[in-house]
Amino acid sequence: MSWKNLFTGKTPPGIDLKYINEQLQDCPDIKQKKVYLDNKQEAFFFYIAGLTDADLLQRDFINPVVAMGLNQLSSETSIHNLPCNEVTLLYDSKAVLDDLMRGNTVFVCTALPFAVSCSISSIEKRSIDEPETEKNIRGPHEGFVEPMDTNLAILRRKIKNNRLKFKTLTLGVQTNQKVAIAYIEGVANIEIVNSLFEKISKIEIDGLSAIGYVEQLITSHPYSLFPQYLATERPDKAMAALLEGRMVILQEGTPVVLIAPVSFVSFFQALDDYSTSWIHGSFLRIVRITAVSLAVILPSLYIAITSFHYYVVPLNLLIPLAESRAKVPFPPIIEVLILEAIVEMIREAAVRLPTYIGTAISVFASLVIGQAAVEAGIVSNLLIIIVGASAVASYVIPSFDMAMAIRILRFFFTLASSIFGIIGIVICFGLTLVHLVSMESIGQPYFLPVAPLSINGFKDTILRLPIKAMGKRPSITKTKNMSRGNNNGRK
Amino acid sequence: MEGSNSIKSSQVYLVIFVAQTGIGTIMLPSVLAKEVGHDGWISLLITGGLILLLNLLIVMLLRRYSDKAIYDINKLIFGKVAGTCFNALLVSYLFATTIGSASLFNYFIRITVLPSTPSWALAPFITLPSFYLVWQGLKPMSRFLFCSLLNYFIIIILIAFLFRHFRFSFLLPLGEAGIPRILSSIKTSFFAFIGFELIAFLYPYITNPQRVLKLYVSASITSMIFFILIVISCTAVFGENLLSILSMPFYNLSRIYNAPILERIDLYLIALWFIPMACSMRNYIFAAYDGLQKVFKLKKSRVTYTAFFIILLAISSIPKDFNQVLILIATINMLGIGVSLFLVLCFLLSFIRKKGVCTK
Amino acid sequence: MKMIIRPVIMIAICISILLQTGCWDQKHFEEIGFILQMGMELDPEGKMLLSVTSPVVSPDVKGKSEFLHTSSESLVRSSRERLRNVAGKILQGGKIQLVYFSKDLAQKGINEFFEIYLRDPENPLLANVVVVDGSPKEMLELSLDYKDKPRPAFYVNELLLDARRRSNAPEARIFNFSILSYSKTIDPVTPLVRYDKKNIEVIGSALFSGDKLVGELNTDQTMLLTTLMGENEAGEYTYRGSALDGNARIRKGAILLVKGANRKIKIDINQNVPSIDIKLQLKAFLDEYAGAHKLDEKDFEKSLEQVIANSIKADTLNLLAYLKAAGADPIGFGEIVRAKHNQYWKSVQWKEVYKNAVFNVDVSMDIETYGTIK
Repeated sequence: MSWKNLFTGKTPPGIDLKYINEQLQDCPDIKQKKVYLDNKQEAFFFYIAGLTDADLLQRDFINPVVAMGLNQLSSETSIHNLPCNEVTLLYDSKAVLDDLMRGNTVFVCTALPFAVSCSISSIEKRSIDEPETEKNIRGPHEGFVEPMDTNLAILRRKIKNNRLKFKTLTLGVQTNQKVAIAYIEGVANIEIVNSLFEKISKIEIDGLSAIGYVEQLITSHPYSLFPQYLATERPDKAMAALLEGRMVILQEGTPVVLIAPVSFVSFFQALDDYSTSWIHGSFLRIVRITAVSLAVILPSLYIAITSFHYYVVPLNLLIPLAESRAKVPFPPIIEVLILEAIVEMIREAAVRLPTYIGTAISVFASLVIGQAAVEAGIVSNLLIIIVGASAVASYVIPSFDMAMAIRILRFFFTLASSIFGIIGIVICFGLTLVHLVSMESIGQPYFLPVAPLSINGFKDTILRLPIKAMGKRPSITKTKNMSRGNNNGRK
Repeated sequence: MEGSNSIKSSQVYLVIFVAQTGIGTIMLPSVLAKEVGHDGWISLLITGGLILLLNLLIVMLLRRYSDKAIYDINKLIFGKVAGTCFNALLVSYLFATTIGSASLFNYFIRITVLPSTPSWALAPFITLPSFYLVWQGLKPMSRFLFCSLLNYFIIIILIAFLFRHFRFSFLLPLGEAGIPRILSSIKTSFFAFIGFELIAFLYPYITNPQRVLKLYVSASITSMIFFILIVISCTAVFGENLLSILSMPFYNLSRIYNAPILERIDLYLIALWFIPMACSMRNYIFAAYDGLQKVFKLKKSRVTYTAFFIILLAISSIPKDFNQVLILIATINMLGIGVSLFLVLCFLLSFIRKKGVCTK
Repeated sequence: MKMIIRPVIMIAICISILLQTGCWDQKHFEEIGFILQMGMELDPEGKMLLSVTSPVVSPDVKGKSEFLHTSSESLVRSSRERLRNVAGKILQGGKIQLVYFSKDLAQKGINEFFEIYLRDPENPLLANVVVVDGSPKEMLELSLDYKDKPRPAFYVNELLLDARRRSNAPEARIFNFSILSYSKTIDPVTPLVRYDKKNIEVIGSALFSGDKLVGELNTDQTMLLTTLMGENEAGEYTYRGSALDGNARIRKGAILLVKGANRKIKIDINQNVPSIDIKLQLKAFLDEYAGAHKLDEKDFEKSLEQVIANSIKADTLNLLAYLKAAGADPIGFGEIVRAKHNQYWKSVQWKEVYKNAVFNVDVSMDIETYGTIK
C-alpha cells in the first residue's frame, strides 16, 4: 500500500483545485498566492518559498498573467509569450503536484483546462570550491556542488560540444531525484551507456541520500571489497573520463559523481599525474604502487617473519629485532592487532573532529601512544615503524574507497599470515588477484591493462608516458573511436 | 556471477605452458640426474621433439572435427557405449592427475615451510584460490595465468644471479650416458611435458582455432627451453652426484644464493613458485570438473562443485608419505603417455570411421 | 536468506581462524635461541664434541652476552636435543653463520655433518665452513671474553669476508663444500683460523681431499691458489726478491695488488701421465716499491714485470708441488681430465696419476699503474 498507489488510484481527471489543496496539507513551505483574473475569476499561484526567486516571480509571471486576463490566457499560444524562461502546460492534478515539487511555480485557474508552470527557481547553494577530500596542485580548483543543474553546467562549460549528452531519469520513489548519465556521443560506446542506463533505471528505492546508494545498487559484485565505480568531486577528473569514452553518473543533491567503467589502476591515478611532466607523473605512480604494496604486505610480513620464518631476518637485524621483541608479552598477531586498532581509531576520530583538532589529535595520538606503548612493552619498536609506514602508505591512494579496501585487505593478510606464515600471505595475495581478474566493471574486465594484457593500457599504469605516446583511448571503454583527437594530438 | 569459458589462442599458450612447467619443474632435474647423469638436457631435447610431433597430430585430430572436444570425438569414433567408457577413463585420468599434483603441491609446502601444520587445515586453505577461480571459468583463469608469468621471469633472474656458481664442465662430456640410457629416460622426461594433452579437452572453448597450432607448439617449445634451462643450471651448479641425491633441486638452487642484505631468499622463492604450481594444478581441476559435467551430464551447481572439491581434497590427502606421492606421480606419467597414444590412435581411426569429420 | 548466510559463514570462519592462532608451525622470534656458531671436534674419548653459541637477548641481561654450551653425542641432532635441555630457549639452526671443525676431526672426514644442512630446509646452506687450528670449543670460550670485538659470530664473519675480499681465504660455504666433495673431481678448500686470548686470526686455508683434511696453506699461498682457481678478486702479492740483474735496484721487494687474473689450463696426456699447462696473465697495481724511481722507463718496468712474473712462477710451482704431494686438487684438474679426456679418466685412479702429473707454468705480469710517483 504505497503512496504511489494511493495517489494514482484517486487522481481525479483534469485539474482539481480541491484535490491539490488536500494533497498540500501541512506543507507550510508551499505558498499559495491568490489573484483575481479580470477582477472576478479566482486563480492561484503555487510555489515553494525557498526555491523561487520572489522578485522574478512577481515581475515575470504574476504581473503578465494578471495583465493578460482570462480570455488571452485561454489561448495556448499567448501563454507561450509569457516572459519567464520555461513555460509548460499541465493538464492534470498529479502533474501539477510533481511540477511544483520540482521547484517550479504553477498557475492554476479552475476556469482554464490546464495549469501553467514556469521555472523561476533560485536555490540556495554554496560556491564552487575545491573539494576538501581531493586536493591537487596544478589542476583547476573547482568542485562539483549539490544542485545537478550547476553540475551539468560545469561539465558543459568544460566540454563545449553538443555531443556531450546527458541521459536523465528520475529515481527515488519518495524523493523523485534526478540522475543523469553523461557521455560523449561518438566517443563512448553507446551499448555500454544503454546497459548502464538500464541498470540504473531498475533501481527502486525510497530515496538516495548519497551517490553511494546508486553505486551499491548497480554493482555487479556486491561482496567485493574493491570499489567498481570511481567516485570523485572533481569536474576535471570527470571531464578526463568523458574524453576517454567513459560515463559519468551524476545525482541530484550530491557533489560526488561516479565514473564507469573503471579498472583497478584508475583508482591510483590522480589528475596531478597528467598536469605535470610525464616523468613527475610516473614518479608519483611508482610512489603510489610502492605504497600500496607496503601498506598491504608490511604488517603481515612482520608477523610471518617473527612468528614463523625467523631465518629470513638478516643477521644484522637479528639481535635488534630480538631485543625489541623480548620485552613484548604478546604474540606478534595480538601486538599487531592492538596497534592497528589504535591507528584505525585515531584515523576515524580525526575524520569526525573539526579539521584543526583532527590534525592535532592524529599527531598527538600517534606520537604519544606510540612512544608510550613501546616503553610500556606492549609493542615493539619495529612494529611502530611498520604500522606507521603502512598507515601513511594507505593515505597516498587518491581514492578514498580504494584506500578503505586496502586497509581492510591488510587485516585479512595479517590474520592469514598469523596462521600459515608466508604461505598465508601468498594465498591471500592469490585470492586477491583471482578476485581482481574475475571482476568486471559494467561488463569490462576490471584488471584490464594487466590481464587481459593491453600494451596500450600499460602506457598509463605503472608509468605515465608522455601525452603524445598515449594516442589511443583506453580499451576498457570499448570505444569505436580509438584515437584521441586528430592524429594523436599532433597537428 | 558466472564467468565465461571462452579463451583465445594466446591464452591456450598460457594454459599449456603453465600446466607443463608448474609442477614438473620441482623434481625433474634430480630424477633425470639419477637416470642419465649430466645428460638430462639431451633427454629433454629429444622428448621435446617427440612432444612436438604429438602436438601436431593432436591438433590435426581436433581440426578434423572442427569444434568438438575429445569426448564428442570418442562417441563418433567408438559409438555411444564404448565412447562413453573411454570418456569416463579420460575423466578419471584428469582426476588422477589433479590428485597427483595436489598431493605433490601439498608435500612441497609441508617439506619446505610448514612441516607440522595438519593437512586438513593446510590443504583446503591452499586450494582456496583455485576453488574460487575454477568456478569463475576458464577466461579469468587464463587471465590469472598471465599474471603468474611474472614469477617465471623472476626465476630466470635468479638463475642469472647464480651464473657465478655455474661450472659448465659438470655438463661434459656430452652424451656420456650413452644412447640407450638417454632413450630410456624419455619416459621420465615425458612427465615434464604432461599438460599438453589438455588441449584435447579444452578445444571447443577456443574462439579462434585457426591460430591455435602455432601457439600450442610454441607453448611446448617454451616449456622445453624452460626445462632445459632449469636442468642445465641445476646440473652445472650441483654436479650430477649431489643432484641425484637432492629431492627438490629446483628449490635448493635458491638456497645457495647469498643475497645482499636479505641473505636467504629460499622462502621468497617458495612463495613465488607457489603461484605457478597452483595454476598448473588449477588447469587440471578445471579440465576434470569440466569433463565430469560433459561426460556424466552434471549440471554446474554449487552443490556438485563443492562436493567435487571435497572429494578432491579427501583423496589427495590419502598418500601418507612422500614415496607414495612419487609412486602416484609415476603412475600418472604412464597414464599420460597412454592418453597421448590414445589421442594418436583416435587420429588414425578418424580416417577409418569418417562420421562427423569436417570435410573442409 | 542467502544474504544472511554468507556473511555468517564468513564471520564464523574468521573467528575460528582467530581462535586457532598459536599452534602448529609457529616459532616465536623472542623464544628462539639463534645458533650462530657451531664447533665440532673430537673429545678425548673419541666422541664428537659439539659446542654452540647463541646470543642471549633478554631485558634482564645487559651487554653482549652469549650462551655457550657443549655436548658430546654421535649425531649433531641428538647433541642439539641435549643442548636444548639447558638452553632455556628453543635452539634453532636457521641462522648458523659459521661451522668450525678441529683439525683432527677434519682429517677423519666431515661430509656426514653437512647432511643435516642439506636435509632440513630450515638450516642454511650458506654457513661458512672453517677449520680451526686447535679446539673450537676453546676458541668459542675465549672469544666470549674479547673486550674490543663485536659478538664472536659477527666478528669472525667479518674477518672471513674481509679475508676473502683480499683473497687470503677461499670461499667455503656448506653448499660449496658439499658440491665439491660430492663431485669427486674437485677438492674443497676452507679457511683456516687460529686463536689466542685476544684475537682470532685467518692464517690461510685448509686443503681437503674429498672431505678429509690433507694439508694447509698460508695466506700468500692461498692468494696464489685462488688465482689458479679463477676466484681471485683483489689479492696482494708480495715480491721478496732482493736483486734485479744483480744491480740491487730492488732492495726491499715490492707489493702488488693483483686486480685481474686470466688463467688458462690445458691438460694433455703423455704416455699415461697428465701434463698440465697453466697460463696466467696477471694485471696489477703497484702498491709499494722502494726501488729507483724509474718506473716511467719502459724497459725498467718490463724487467720489473719479468722478475715478478718469475717469482710468481716459482711460487706457483712450489704450491702445485705441495698440492700434488698432499693429494689435494682444489683447482679441479681432475674435473678437466674427466670432461676432456673421459676415456683416460675412466681407465685410471685420478688421485694416483695426479701424484705424477707434470706442471708447466707460464706467468705474464702487467703492471697497469704505479701511483703518483714514478
